[in-house]
Amino acid sequence: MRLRSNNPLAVRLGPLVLKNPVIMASGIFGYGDEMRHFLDYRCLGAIVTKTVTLQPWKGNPQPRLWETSAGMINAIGLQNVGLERFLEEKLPRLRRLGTIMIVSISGNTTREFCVLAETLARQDVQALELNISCPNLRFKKKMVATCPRLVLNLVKDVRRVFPRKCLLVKLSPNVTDITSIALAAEEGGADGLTLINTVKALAVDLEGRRLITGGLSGPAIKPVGLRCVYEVYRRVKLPLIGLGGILSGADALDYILVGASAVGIGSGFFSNPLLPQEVTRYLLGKVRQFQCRTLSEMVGIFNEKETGV
Amino acid sequence: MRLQDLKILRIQVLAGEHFWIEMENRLSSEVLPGQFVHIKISPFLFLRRPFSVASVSQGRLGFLIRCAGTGTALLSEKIPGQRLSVLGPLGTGFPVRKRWKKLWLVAGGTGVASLLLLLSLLQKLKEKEIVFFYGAVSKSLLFRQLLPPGNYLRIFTTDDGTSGQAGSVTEPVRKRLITGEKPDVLYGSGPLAMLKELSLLCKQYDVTGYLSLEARLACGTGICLGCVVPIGDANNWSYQRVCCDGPVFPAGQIQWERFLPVEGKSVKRCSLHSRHHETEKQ
Repeated sequence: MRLRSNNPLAVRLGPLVLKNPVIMASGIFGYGDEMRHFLDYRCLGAIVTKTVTLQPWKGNPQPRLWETSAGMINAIGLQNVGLERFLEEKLPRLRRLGTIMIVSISGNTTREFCVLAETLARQDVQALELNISCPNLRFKKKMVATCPRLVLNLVKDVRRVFPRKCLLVKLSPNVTDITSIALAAEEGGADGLTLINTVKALAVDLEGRRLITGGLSGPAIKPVGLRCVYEVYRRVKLPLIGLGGILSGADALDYILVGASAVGIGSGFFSNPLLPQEVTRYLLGKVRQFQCRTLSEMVGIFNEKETGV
Repeated sequence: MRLQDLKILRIQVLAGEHFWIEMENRLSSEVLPGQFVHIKISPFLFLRRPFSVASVSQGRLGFLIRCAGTGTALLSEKIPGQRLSVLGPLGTGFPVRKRWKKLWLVAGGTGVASLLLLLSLLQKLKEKEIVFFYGAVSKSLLFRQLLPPGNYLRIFTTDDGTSGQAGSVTEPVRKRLITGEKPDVLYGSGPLAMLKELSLLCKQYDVTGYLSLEARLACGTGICLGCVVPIGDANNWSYQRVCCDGPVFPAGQIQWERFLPVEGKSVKRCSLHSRHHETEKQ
């Protein structure tokens, strides 16, 4: 598929070309056709699947959800059916949706990531997103996305078994310097970076006498996400998928202006299932208003690359 | 399942922070008893709020709601004529079989909402012998006026004994079971502790039971996996979604000990699932 010049919203992520920059983020889109009643899947740039692991995972016990004043905390714990059932049941359904599919994978060891990537490559999956930043998950008692060396090695190893196809890496905002992690992923051979995953958070349920820990999403984290995209864009050449707190087309545009080539819709989709269409329409209008030929010309125009780094 | 803006037609304040709200009904499919809708109450609240449909009549949907938190409080302040974004109907309903003749409906508190719709449906069917158990905290919170007229046995309980029998609504159920009476099916809706009790009774007396669970929801459509409960056998269970695999589950399939641990433990993550929590699905 080539970048068609007559499509002003087309986005290139390494070898992958999306017809528009709106991507359904991982974990908010099950595996298929639950939302078919009001969402036209063909209007999406791509969907990222719920994270798949080698073995089925039951996920965390309750409480898994907590609404906060401007967002929500979740602790789902990567509940999923495992690779085998994913290939049998979910993959054929996802293929029929008529949009590009990015499979999110995660594991407890490098070997698990590699087995997943290799198997999915054989199944002709065109794009992977490495989920190394789930706040509810540890890799040798450490979140991979907090250590540049772990990221570099993992991305390198997965790249080897998943050549010539789109490899994305999802980064965490829970780090001292996100650019060092982004640079490590770039050096490892990633085609693009997704940022950000949820922010580690805690709530106190006084009445229930319990604590709720998990990852914060929603409008509360939009400024955090924007700052991460801003910083990474200045240092890294890879295309970025910006997400965190996008509830409107204007939120999505903010991400584009500071350096994201594409945007992810996350938990904002829960309250407004029509959000993907609204964002696409808004961005198309803005391309005309900014008198640009394509949206890609608008990427990062409020930001500038640091040179000589 | 459809997403649309529905007009509020009527709001009536009931006793003790409860209110009755009616909205126009333009949902695509018929609402089954036990199903719910997911309502966007305010742009300042991030998530939608789920409410069981309590009545469907003449193009109107009725809901019985208790002000349990910010969302329901904001909803109670709406005025007729305003429109709200409504997603629904969602979830599975209570199963109804022709061969089930003797039916027991057990409602606790605002859990009565989903059973009201079931009761009106069952009354239209022939040859059904219905007993309606309804318990509340006190007399003023026992909304007898919401029960449809008809030929069925009503048994009321209140925690403080101000109306009907004193004590939990599960007590008259237990007494009847002890005397050897047994329904073909038991439907339950109410606080989790009450449902757990019903679940144990169903197991002990080998009664087919269906219970409507409540949970905090985010998406309401099965994609976020936030509302799950452990369902299955003791050795072979999995987390299933209240919003789309439920909210009605077979009584014997709910793994309570993985879900509602013993109360009184110290504060610890995941250690408690309080029955008092500020959930708003009723």
